[in-house]
Amino acid sequence: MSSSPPPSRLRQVAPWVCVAGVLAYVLVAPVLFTATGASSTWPAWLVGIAAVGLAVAAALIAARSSRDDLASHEDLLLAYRRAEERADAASAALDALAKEQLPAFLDSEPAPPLPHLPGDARAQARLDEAAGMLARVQEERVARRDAVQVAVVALSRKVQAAAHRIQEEAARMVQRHPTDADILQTSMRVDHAAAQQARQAQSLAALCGEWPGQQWSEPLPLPDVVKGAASRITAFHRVEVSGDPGVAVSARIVEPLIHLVAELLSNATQSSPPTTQVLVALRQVQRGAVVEIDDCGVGLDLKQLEQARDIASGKREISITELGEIPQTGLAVVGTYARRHGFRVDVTESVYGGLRAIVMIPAELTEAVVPSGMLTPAATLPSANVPSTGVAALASSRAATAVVEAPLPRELPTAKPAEDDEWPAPAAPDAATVLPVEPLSVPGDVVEDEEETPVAGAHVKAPGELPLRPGRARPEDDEFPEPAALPQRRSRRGEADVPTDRAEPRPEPRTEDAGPAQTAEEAGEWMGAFFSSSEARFGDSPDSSEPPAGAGGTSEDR
Amino acid sequence: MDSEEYRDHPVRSYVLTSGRAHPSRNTLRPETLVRAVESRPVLSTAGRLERELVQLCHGTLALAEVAAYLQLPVSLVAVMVSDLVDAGNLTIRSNHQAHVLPGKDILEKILDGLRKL
Repeated sequence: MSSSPPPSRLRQVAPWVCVAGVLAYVLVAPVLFTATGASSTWPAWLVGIAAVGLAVAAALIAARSSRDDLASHEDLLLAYRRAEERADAASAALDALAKEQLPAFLDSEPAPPLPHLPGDARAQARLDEAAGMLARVQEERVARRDAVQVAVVALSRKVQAAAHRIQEEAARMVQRHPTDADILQTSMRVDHAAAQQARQAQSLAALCGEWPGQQWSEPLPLPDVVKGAASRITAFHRVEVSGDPGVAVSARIVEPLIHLVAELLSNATQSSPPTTQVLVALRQVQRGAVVEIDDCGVGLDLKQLEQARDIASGKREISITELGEIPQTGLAVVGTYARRHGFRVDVTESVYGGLRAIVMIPAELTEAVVPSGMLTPAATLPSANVPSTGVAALASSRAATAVVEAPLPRELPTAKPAEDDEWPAPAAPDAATVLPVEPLSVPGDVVEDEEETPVAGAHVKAPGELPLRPGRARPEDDEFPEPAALPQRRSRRGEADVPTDRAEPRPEPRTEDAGPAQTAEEAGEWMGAFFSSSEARFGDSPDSSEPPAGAGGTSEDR
Repeated sequence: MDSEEYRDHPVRSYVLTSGRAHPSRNTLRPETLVRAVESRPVLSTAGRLERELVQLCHGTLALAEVAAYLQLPVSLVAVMVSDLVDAGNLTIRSNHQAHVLPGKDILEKILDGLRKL
């Protein structure tokens, strides 16, 4: 009886048996004592002992059974609590599965860890199984998406390359017919269409997280960046650029920035009336350079504006899979570039009523450049990249001629035409103003290495001339003197390896036969003869006999 | 000219001329000489290329030369030059007509010579 709980009947009966035993003894004892007398007391004692024994046994049974009851009650309570905990954990796990893992799975984000289920191995195993399957499906999905993106990138690259090829062909067409305006018009239209095609393809690639296809090797001044961006949108003629802060952007971000600005310009032109301009203001700020694009549309409401701002600034990432049925790629592309290159982009309301997009290019991505008001032709002149044409040769020889005259400005006005000089000098008044800028020709050496080649080549054509420094001392220099430290455009050409003459000392003053050979009008005739003979397009070729030097009187200004 | 190396540039030609391919004046030929007007400052709205072009022409240059320096097609430069001439920054110098139409005295001399034959 001690190990197993007592039968319930006995447990209920035991206290009553105990009470009945005591009562029976109390009632029976006097009767027995009085009836039997003092002589025979043993039956009374016997009954008494039996009654007490009965009571004690009953009490013991009752006490024991109540203790067992308590223990089993506690056991039950414990079991109940444990079951409750397990149920809570299971429902929490279920919640986590339904409310965290599944949405994360749908958004293709990393899922939070599932809660652990202690003491319920079967439920835990099921849960792990479910989570594992989710993870596997997600992996497959990511892999499939990556594969799609790779394919999209490859296709958009192909489209882009094809578009650039069209542009190249259009440019070559113009090169073949350099003077035909109709062909230029056609080429422009083709070029424009292809440029937009290339931009759309590049947008796709950018949204897939790829680097833009085109790359430029030289920094580009900010106004040219905006113009380059404008050339990729449909309504390029509505873009109005103001300001030239004298800032260029580094070569490696030229293409991303052009594409970014093109998308903003495209949005701006599309969301404003076709008769309005899109105003682009450029300015330099302490932390870099700023491009502000204002349109004159109706703008966005606050909620849309907030969304647009999140996307454009790169705060909210939009991948190609989230574009939707009517893809709005513009701001998503902007955001992609902003994240990747550290541009700061913001979209606010414009004072003109529409939107204002602001792009800040960090200072470390910009370079100083000569502001457009201070351009020096010397920096750009001999870089003409058309070596195979007669024009280039002429240009080179002209550059040489211009230099030759520089050292002796005083003699120029009286100088006689020289027979060996086939190209006229710039008009005398210009040459006479050269002297003040001559010192500039010394510090520019390093930058102009590559530019000397055509000049040296020109000297081959004009024997008897001393080798001289290239055309830094152009007559034009005096009006726009160029600080030596300013960056200059480099010629990317380096194929011609005619020995340069950089090490030469200052050129000796020339004798007077180095003076201007011909008048400008003769030069014009020469050019006319050249073109008429080479292309036979210009049937009215001038008589190539040389008019006297005073023929300037026949010129007319139109 | 087909052998020319093709060089791409981010700024396309149609942006330089606002999409116009035909110059505002039809007298420009590759050999036409243009010259900057020294007294007239370039408009502040002019781009880098226009400024560069005007400065190139501070010495008289033929249109074809300008195009070669700027590495742009002659027909495109013709549009730009034409605009700059309209704006008064460039002038055209040409004796083109002078030798298309010989002087009256020369014609008379030829006529005399023919009669003497």
